[in-house]
Amino acid sequence: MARSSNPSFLNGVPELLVLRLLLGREMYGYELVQAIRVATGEAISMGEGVVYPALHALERDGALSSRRQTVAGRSRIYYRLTPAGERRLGEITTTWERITGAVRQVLEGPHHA
Amino acid sequence: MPDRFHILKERLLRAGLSPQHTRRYIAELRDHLEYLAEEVAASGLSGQAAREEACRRLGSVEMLARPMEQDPRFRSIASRRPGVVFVIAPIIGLATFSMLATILLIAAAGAGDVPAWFETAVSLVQILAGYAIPLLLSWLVLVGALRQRSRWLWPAVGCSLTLLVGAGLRLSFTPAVSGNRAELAFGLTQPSALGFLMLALMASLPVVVARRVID
Repeated sequence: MARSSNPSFLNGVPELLVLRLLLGREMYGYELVQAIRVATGEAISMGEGVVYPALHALERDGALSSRRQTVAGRSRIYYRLTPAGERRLGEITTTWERITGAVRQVLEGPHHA
Repeated sequence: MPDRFHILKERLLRAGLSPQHTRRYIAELRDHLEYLAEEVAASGLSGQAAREEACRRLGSVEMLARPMEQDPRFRSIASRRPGVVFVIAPIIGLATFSMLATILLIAAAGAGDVPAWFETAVSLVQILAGYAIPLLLSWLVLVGALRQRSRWLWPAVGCSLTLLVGAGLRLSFTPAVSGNRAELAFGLTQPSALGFLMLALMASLPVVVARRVID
Protein backbone atom coordinates (compact mmCIF):
# COMPACT_ATOMS: atom_id res chain seq x y z
CA MET A 1 0.00 0.00 0.00
CA ALA A 2 1.30 3.43 -0.86
CA ARG A 3 2.32 5.49 2.14
CA SER A 4 2.01 9.23 2.09
CA SER A 5 4.89 11.32 3.37
CA ASN A 6 4.62 14.03 5.98
CA PRO A 7 7.51 16.35 5.20
CA SER A 8 6.10 19.44 6.93
CA PHE A 9 6.50 17.71 10.30
CA LEU A 10 9.99 16.51 9.60
CA ASN A 11 12.15 19.61 10.03
CA GLY A 12 15.18 18.50 12.01
CA VAL A 13 13.83 14.98 12.56
CA PRO A 14 16.00 13.22 9.93
CA GLU A 15 19.10 14.74 11.55
CA LEU A 16 18.07 13.55 15.00
CA LEU A 17 17.22 10.03 13.79
CA VAL A 18 20.41 9.74 11.75
CA LEU A 19 22.63 10.80 14.63
CA ARG A 20 20.85 8.56 17.12
CA LEU A 21 20.92 5.47 14.89
CA LEU A 22 24.57 5.97 13.99
CA LEU A 23 25.54 6.15 17.66
CA GLY A 24 27.94 3.27 18.16
CA ARG A 25 27.38 1.71 14.74
CA GLU A 26 28.35 2.70 11.20
CA MET A 27 25.80 2.26 8.40
CA TYR A 28 25.37 3.03 4.71
CA GLY A 29 22.40 5.01 3.37
CA TYR A 30 19.97 2.22 2.52
CA GLU A 31 20.76 0.37 5.74
CA LEU A 32 20.16 3.56 7.71
CA VAL A 33 16.77 4.17 6.07
CA GLN A 34 15.73 0.60 6.88
CA ALA A 35 16.83 1.19 10.47
CA ILE A 36 14.73 4.39 10.61
CA ARG A 37 11.69 2.53 9.29
CA VAL A 38 12.08 -0.25 11.84
CA ALA A 39 12.90 2.03 14.77
CA THR A 40 9.91 4.32 14.12
CA GLY A 41 7.49 1.53 13.22
CA GLU A 42 7.08 3.29 9.85
CA ALA A 43 5.29 6.14 11.63
CA ILE A 44 7.65 8.62 10.03
CA SER A 45 7.58 8.47 6.29
CA MET A 46 9.63 10.53 3.87
CA GLY A 47 11.27 10.25 0.48
CA GLU A 48 14.09 7.87 1.31
CA GLY A 49 16.57 9.87 -0.75
CA VAL A 50 16.14 12.80 1.61
CA VAL A 51 18.43 11.05 4.08
CA TYR A 52 21.48 11.75 1.88
CA PRO A 53 21.39 15.57 2.02
CA ALA A 54 21.09 15.19 5.80
CA LEU A 55 24.08 12.82 5.85
CA HIS A 56 26.15 15.11 3.63
CA ALA A 57 25.32 18.18 5.70
CA LEU A 58 26.23 16.39 8.92
CA GLU A 59 29.48 15.17 7.38
CA ARG A 60 30.31 18.70 6.23
CA ASP A 61 29.69 19.96 9.76
CA GLY A 62 32.07 17.33 11.12
CA ALA A 63 29.33 15.41 12.92
CA LEU A 64 29.85 12.35 10.71
CA SER A 65 32.78 10.77 8.94
CA SER A 66 32.51 8.44 5.97
CA ARG A 67 34.46 5.68 4.27
CA ARG A 68 33.87 3.93 0.97
CA GLN A 69 33.75 0.15 0.75
CA THR A 70 32.87 -2.13 -2.14
CA VAL A 71 30.51 -4.94 -1.20
CA ALA A 72 29.28 -7.46 -3.81
CA GLY A 73 30.33 -5.16 -6.63
CA ARG A 74 28.56 -2.13 -5.17
CA SER A 75 30.38 0.81 -3.72
CA ARG A 76 28.86 1.73 -0.37
CA ILE A 77 29.60 4.81 1.67
CA TYR A 78 29.51 4.00 5.36
CA TYR A 79 28.84 6.82 7.83
CA ARG A 80 29.82 6.94 11.47
CA LEU A 81 29.41 9.41 14.30
CA THR A 82 32.36 11.60 15.31
CA PRO A 83 32.88 13.02 18.81
CA ALA A 84 31.43 16.32 17.51
CA GLY A 85 28.43 14.34 16.27
CA GLU A 86 27.91 12.81 19.71
CA ARG A 87 27.89 16.28 21.26
CA ARG A 88 25.44 17.49 18.65
CA LEU A 89 23.19 14.50 19.27
CA GLY A 90 23.13 15.41 22.96
CA GLU A 91 22.14 19.00 22.20
CA ILE A 92 19.42 18.08 19.70
CA THR A 93 18.02 15.40 21.98
CA THR A 94 17.73 17.91 24.84
CA THR A 95 15.96 20.43 22.58
CA TRP A 96 13.66 17.74 21.15
CA GLU A 97 12.68 16.48 24.63
CA ARG A 98 11.94 20.02 25.80
CA ILE A 99 9.66 20.67 22.81
CA THR A 100 7.85 17.32 22.95
CA GLY A 101 7.43 17.73 26.73
CA ALA A 102 5.87 21.16 26.20
CA VAL A 103 3.52 19.85 23.50
CA ARG A 104 2.55 16.89 25.71
CA GLN A 105 1.70 19.29 28.55
CA VAL A 106 -0.60 21.20 26.23
CA LEU A 107 -2.27 18.02 24.97
CA GLU A 108 -2.75 16.55 28.44
CA GLY A 109 -3.72 19.80 30.13
CA PRO A 110 -7.24 21.08 30.85
CA HIS A 111 -9.39 22.06 27.89
CA HIS A 112 -9.95 25.77 27.43
CA ALA A 113 -13.26 27.11 26.33
CA MET B 1 11.72 9.34 -21.20
CA PRO B 2 14.68 11.26 -19.73
CA ASP B 3 16.57 9.57 -16.91
CA ARG B 4 15.45 11.17 -13.59
CA PHE B 5 19.03 11.08 -12.30
CA HIS B 6 20.23 12.95 -15.37
CA ILE B 7 17.57 15.62 -14.77
CA LEU B 8 18.58 15.80 -11.11
CA LYS B 9 22.28 16.04 -11.97
CA GLU B 10 21.74 18.89 -14.44
CA ARG B 11 19.55 20.73 -11.95
CA LEU B 12 22.09 20.41 -9.12
CA LEU B 13 25.02 21.46 -11.30
CA ARG B 14 23.12 24.52 -12.53
CA ALA B 15 22.29 25.33 -8.92
CA GLY B 16 26.03 25.54 -8.23
CA LEU B 17 26.85 22.19 -6.61
CA SER B 18 30.32 20.91 -7.34
CA PRO B 19 30.50 18.12 -9.96
CA GLN B 20 32.27 15.86 -7.45
CA HIS B 21 29.58 16.28 -4.82
CA THR B 22 26.80 15.88 -7.38
CA ARG B 23 28.40 12.67 -8.69
CA ARG B 24 28.60 11.20 -5.19
CA TYR B 25 24.99 12.12 -4.37
CA ILE B 26 23.67 10.62 -7.62
CA ALA B 27 25.75 7.45 -7.12
CA GLU B 28 24.31 6.99 -3.63
CA LEU B 29 20.77 7.55 -4.90
CA ARG B 30 21.28 5.09 -7.79
CA ASP B 31 22.52 2.41 -5.40
CA HIS B 32 19.65 3.14 -3.03
CA LEU B 33 17.17 2.76 -5.89
CA GLU B 34 18.70 -0.60 -6.84
CA TYR B 35 18.34 -1.87 -3.27
CA LEU B 36 14.77 -0.57 -3.15
CA ALA B 37 13.88 -2.22 -6.48
CA GLU B 38 15.21 -5.55 -5.18
CA GLU B 39 13.26 -5.15 -1.94
CA VAL B 40 10.03 -4.26 -3.74
CA ALA B 41 10.51 -7.11 -6.24
CA ALA B 42 11.02 -9.52 -3.34
CA SER B 43 7.69 -8.39 -1.90
CA GLY B 44 5.84 -9.57 -5.01
CA LEU B 45 5.71 -6.63 -7.41
CA SER B 46 7.47 -7.20 -10.68
CA GLY B 47 8.89 -5.30 -13.63
CA GLN B 48 7.75 -1.75 -14.25
CA ALA B 49 5.49 -1.66 -11.18
CA ALA B 50 8.41 -2.56 -8.90
CA ARG B 51 10.55 0.12 -10.50
CA GLU B 52 7.84 2.76 -10.14
CA GLU B 53 7.27 1.90 -6.48
CA ALA B 54 11.01 2.05 -5.82
CA CYS B 55 11.20 5.48 -7.50
CA ARG B 56 8.22 6.70 -5.48
CA ARG B 57 9.83 5.60 -2.24
CA LEU B 58 13.14 7.22 -3.14
CA GLY B 59 11.40 10.57 -3.72
CA SER B 60 10.67 12.90 -6.62
CA VAL B 61 13.36 14.92 -8.40
CA GLU B 62 11.95 18.01 -6.69
CA MET B 63 12.17 16.38 -3.26
CA LEU B 64 15.73 15.17 -3.89
CA ALA B 65 16.99 18.43 -5.41
CA ARG B 66 15.52 20.98 -3.01
CA PRO B 67 17.55 20.24 0.16
CA MET B 68 20.80 20.24 -1.82
CA GLU B 69 19.93 23.50 -3.60
CA GLN B 70 18.86 25.24 -0.42
CA ASP B 71 22.02 24.51 1.56
CA PRO B 72 24.71 27.05 0.56
CA ARG B 73 27.42 24.83 2.08
CA PHE B 74 27.02 22.43 -0.85
CA ARG B 75 27.88 25.06 -3.46
CA SER B 76 31.24 24.92 -5.19
CA ILE B 77 33.84 27.67 -4.88
CA ALA B 78 33.36 28.47 -8.56
CA SER B 79 29.67 29.04 -7.92
CA ARG B 80 30.23 31.20 -4.84
CA ARG B 81 33.24 33.16 -6.15
CA PRO B 82 33.19 32.92 -9.96
CA GLY B 83 35.30 36.05 -10.37
CA VAL B 84 38.07 34.60 -8.23
CA VAL B 85 38.06 31.14 -9.83
CA PHE B 86 37.56 32.09 -13.47
CA VAL B 87 39.31 35.48 -13.68
CA ILE B 88 41.75 36.18 -10.86
CA ALA B 89 43.16 32.65 -10.42
CA PRO B 90 44.29 32.14 -14.05
CA ILE B 91 45.86 35.60 -14.23
CA ILE B 92 47.70 35.03 -10.95
CA GLY B 93 48.78 31.61 -12.30
CA LEU B 94 50.16 33.17 -15.46
CA ALA B 95 51.89 35.99 -13.58
CA THR B 96 53.41 33.53 -11.09
CA PHE B 97 54.76 31.30 -13.84
CA SER B 98 56.21 34.24 -15.76
CA MET B 99 57.91 35.71 -12.72
CA LEU B 100 59.30 32.39 -11.51
CA ALA B 101 60.62 31.56 -14.98
CA THR B 102 62.28 35.00 -15.24
CA ILE B 103 63.84 34.65 -11.80
CA LEU B 104 65.15 31.19 -12.72
CA LEU B 105 66.62 32.57 -15.95
CA ILE B 106 68.36 35.38 -14.07
CA ALA B 107 69.67 32.90 -11.49
CA ALA B 108 70.89 30.56 -14.24
CA ALA B 109 72.66 33.37 -16.06
CA GLY B 110 74.72 34.29 -13.01
CA ALA B 111 77.06 37.25 -12.88
CA GLY B 112 79.47 36.11 -15.58
CA ASP B 113 79.00 35.31 -19.25
CA VAL B 114 75.62 33.86 -20.08
CA PRO B 115 75.69 30.21 -21.16
CA ALA B 116 75.20 29.29 -24.82
CA TRP B 117 71.76 27.83 -24.24
CA PHE B 118 70.45 30.95 -22.54
CA GLU B 119 68.91 32.58 -25.61
CA THR B 120 67.05 29.36 -26.45
CA ALA B 121 65.79 29.18 -22.86
CA VAL B 122 64.51 32.77 -23.08
CA SER B 123 62.65 31.94 -26.31
CA LEU B 124 61.18 28.84 -24.70
CA VAL B 125 59.94 30.83 -21.67
CA GLN B 126 58.48 33.44 -24.04
CA ILE B 127 56.55 30.73 -25.90
CA LEU B 128 55.37 29.14 -22.66
CA ALA B 129 54.34 32.39 -20.94
CA GLY B 130 52.97 34.03 -24.09
CA TYR B 131 51.10 31.12 -25.67
CA ALA B 132 51.20 27.69 -24.01
CA ILE B 133 50.34 28.62 -20.40
CA PRO B 134 47.56 31.14 -21.32
CA LEU B 135 46.05 28.52 -23.62
CA LEU B 136 46.28 25.82 -20.98
CA LEU B 137 44.73 28.11 -18.35
CA SER B 138 41.94 29.11 -20.75
CA TRP B 139 41.18 25.47 -21.47
CA LEU B 140 41.05 24.74 -17.75
CA VAL B 141 38.67 27.68 -17.22
CA LEU B 142 36.41 26.62 -20.09
CA VAL B 143 36.36 22.94 -19.16
CA GLY B 144 35.71 23.86 -15.52
CA ALA B 145 32.85 26.14 -16.58
CA LEU B 146 31.36 23.41 -18.77
CA ARG B 147 31.61 20.79 -16.04
CA GLN B 148 29.93 23.09 -13.55
CA ARG B 149 27.33 24.38 -16.04
CA SER B 150 28.48 27.89 -15.09
CA ARG B 151 27.09 30.99 -16.70
CA TRP B 152 29.44 32.19 -19.41
CA LEU B 153 30.17 35.75 -18.33
CA TRP B 154 32.98 35.11 -15.82
CA PRO B 155 34.72 32.31 -17.79
CA ALA B 156 34.60 34.46 -20.96
CA VAL B 157 36.08 37.44 -19.11
CA GLY B 158 38.72 35.22 -17.48
CA CYS B 159 39.79 33.60 -20.75
CA SER B 160 39.89 36.91 -22.63
CA LEU B 161 42.00 38.62 -19.96
CA THR B 162 44.37 35.65 -19.60
CA LEU B 163 44.89 35.49 -23.35
CA LEU B 164 45.30 39.28 -23.59
CA VAL B 165 47.93 39.29 -20.84
CA GLY B 166 49.65 36.27 -22.43
CA ALA B 167 49.68 37.84 -25.88
CA GLY B 168 51.10 41.04 -24.39
CA LEU B 169 53.90 39.43 -22.37
CA ARG B 170 57.34 40.14 -23.78
CA LEU B 171 60.57 38.58 -22.61
CA SER B 172 63.60 39.73 -24.56
CA PHE B 173 67.30 39.07 -24.27
CA THR B 174 70.08 41.31 -25.55
CA PRO B 175 73.50 39.62 -25.58
CA ALA B 176 76.55 41.42 -24.27
CA VAL B 177 78.11 43.54 -27.02
CA SER B 178 81.37 45.49 -26.90
CA GLY B 179 81.68 45.93 -23.18
CA ASN B 180 77.93 46.38 -22.50
CA ARG B 181 76.35 43.85 -20.19
CA ALA B 182 73.75 41.38 -21.44
CA GLU B 183 70.17 42.42 -20.73
CA LEU B 184 67.06 40.46 -19.95
CA ALA B 185 63.84 42.51 -20.22
CA PHE B 186 60.40 41.39 -19.13
CA GLY B 187 57.22 43.40 -19.51
CA LEU B 188 53.73 43.88 -20.85
CA THR B 189 53.20 45.38 -24.28
CA GLN B 190 50.06 46.03 -26.30
CA PRO B 191 49.17 42.68 -27.86
CA SER B 192 48.56 42.43 -31.59
CA ALA B 193 44.94 41.89 -32.56
CA LEU B 194 45.92 39.01 -34.80
CA GLY B 195 47.92 37.28 -32.06
CA PHE B 196 45.04 37.63 -29.64
CA LEU B 197 42.51 36.35 -32.18
CA MET B 198 44.68 33.32 -32.96
CA LEU B 199 44.95 32.50 -29.26
CA ALA B 200 41.21 33.00 -28.75
CA LEU B 201 40.44 30.64 -31.63
CA MET B 202 42.78 27.99 -30.29
CA ALA B 203 41.38 28.41 -26.79
CA SER B 204 37.82 27.85 -27.98
CA LEU B 205 38.58 24.70 -30.01
CA PRO B 206 38.60 22.24 -27.09
CA VAL B 207 35.17 23.50 -25.99
CA VAL B 208 33.65 21.81 -29.03
CA VAL B 209 35.32 18.53 -28.05
CA ALA B 210 34.64 18.97 -24.34
CA ARG B 211 30.93 19.49 -24.94
CA ARG B 212 30.78 15.97 -26.35
CA VAL B 213 33.10 14.35 -23.81
CA ILE B 214 32.06 16.01 -20.55
CA ASP B 215 29.07 14.47 -18.85
